[in-house]
Amino acid sequence: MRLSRPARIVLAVLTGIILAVIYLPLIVVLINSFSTSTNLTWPPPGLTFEWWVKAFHNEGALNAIGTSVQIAIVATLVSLVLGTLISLALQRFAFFGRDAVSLLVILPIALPGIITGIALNNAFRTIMGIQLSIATVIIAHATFCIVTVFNNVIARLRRVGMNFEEASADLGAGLWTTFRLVTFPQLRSALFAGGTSRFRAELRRDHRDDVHGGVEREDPADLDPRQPVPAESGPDRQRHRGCPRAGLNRADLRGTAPRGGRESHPLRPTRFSARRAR
Amino acid sequence: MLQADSGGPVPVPRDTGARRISVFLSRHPRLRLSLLLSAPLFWLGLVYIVALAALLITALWTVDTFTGTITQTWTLDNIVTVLTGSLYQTVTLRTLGIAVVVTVVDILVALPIAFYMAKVASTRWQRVLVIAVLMPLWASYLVKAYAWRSVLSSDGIVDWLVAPFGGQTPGYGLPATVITLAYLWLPYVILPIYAGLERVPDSLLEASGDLGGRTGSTLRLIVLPMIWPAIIAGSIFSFSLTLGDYITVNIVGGANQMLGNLVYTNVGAANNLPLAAAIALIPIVIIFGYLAAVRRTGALDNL
Repeated sequence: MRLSRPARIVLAVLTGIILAVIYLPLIVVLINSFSTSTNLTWPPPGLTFEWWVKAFHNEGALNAIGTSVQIAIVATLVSLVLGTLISLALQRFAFFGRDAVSLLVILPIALPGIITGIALNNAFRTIMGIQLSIATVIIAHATFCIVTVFNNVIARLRRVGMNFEEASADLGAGLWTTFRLVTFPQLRSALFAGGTSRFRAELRRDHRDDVHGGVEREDPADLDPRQPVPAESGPDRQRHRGCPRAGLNRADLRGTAPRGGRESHPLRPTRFSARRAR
Repeated sequence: MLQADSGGPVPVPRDTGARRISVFLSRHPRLRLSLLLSAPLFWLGLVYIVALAALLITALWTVDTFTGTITQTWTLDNIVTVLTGSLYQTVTLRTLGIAVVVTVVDILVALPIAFYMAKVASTRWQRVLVIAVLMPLWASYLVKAYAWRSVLSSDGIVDWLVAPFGGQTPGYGLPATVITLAYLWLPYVILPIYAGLERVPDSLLEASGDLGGRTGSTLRLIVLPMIWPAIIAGSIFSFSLTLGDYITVNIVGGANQMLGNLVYTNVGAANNLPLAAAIALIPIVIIFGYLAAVRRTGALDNL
């Protein structure tokens, strides 16, 4: 199949239109934030910095940013650890109930958020008798976030295979050494991708918080929505960088030279192989 | 071989405690597996499965109308109410309809842009486009919903744009809800489809062309079957997120209600958690049915 030139142009135009529609509402909000009108009329009758000044002096908004960041950091850390553990288990082992476990990980995003929300609300308040607090928000968010880390890490594990780990074990490295020097470096960019997209999701206040912990009220993301997104955040972008193995895979497909950066190759002769060669 | 023959004793690793644990673990893969699984399963089991199960049980209890507390008498009343009440049937059908339309719209919009990103754009543009698609995820859900409220309002930008052509904004209601929800979930649908398309090797497309396949038949016979799991994966996101939504419809939906609203009102204002739990069973059943139906496509590995 070779796309004709008109077909390519049509696709490019469609892409442009879709992106324009994606950005239109955001730009409208941005422009409206300078509008002198209070009821979002278009076009804005005049421009003013009044709302921005107010937002930056709003203590509630500033506190909410602090709360969100705190929740985001803790929930991201918890889900990074749990997500990595479970993806290692599901990718490296075949066992009875594997499908059930993988369904269990996916369930929190497959079921509508409000259901998980009221389920946790009910569990915390009615069953365990705990007051809703930042801690319950963190627990709930970490539960939702495991799956994102899981997706990123398991995709990476599938791609890198086990050759390096087996080689490392053959060369005499223990389990922990292998994980630290071989597996972890290969996973690092996937963890980064999973972590940032989770962190991002944390920073948006979404409807789960209505249900389990009325701590934050303002949305800090309103104030700072335009941080650069790392290219890594896509579910499959991470294969482009970071991991030299991925470079090899890509090279097979695209005919480019493998990128074995000096500092990045996890299996450049390290002490195990060096020791043996002596 | 040469290295092994070249003499010099191979150093034996020191026999430390960590070493012994490591050796023991590598000889017992089952133990390794259970250690890996214990923490996440403990967390998910305790936090999630227990909570869900408790919710299902709560649906079988009632609320004391005088004290407002939950009494633990077993009854099917809530479930019967939800199954037979015309309000619940209407809202369920409406929610399902919205979810289906939103999903179809999202897939139709996502396919061309994902195809352009994965197969037409240069590597550099690919990155730019992925970032462009991901960027809106940094903006808050609420900001985007209110943005559409402003865009679609009677003196908003849509009305301003189409007024010269004699058109007018659709206003607030179900069409606005569909537009806003489709807009909100679009990145979640584009990304799996894009990832799926990236996995289709270009060589297959060329082979199809060399063998005389036209663009249409290549797309239909080669590309579509290969990216089908990715499309389903995207649809799981938009479908399930729509089934649970209750904020967008409040902001742009006029007086319409969705299942999420019923659940939310019963948890909050009406203080009837058992009824809310019974209503929540509807989307749970729908989603489980959907997951069971698509399980064999392999979509769950594409999420």
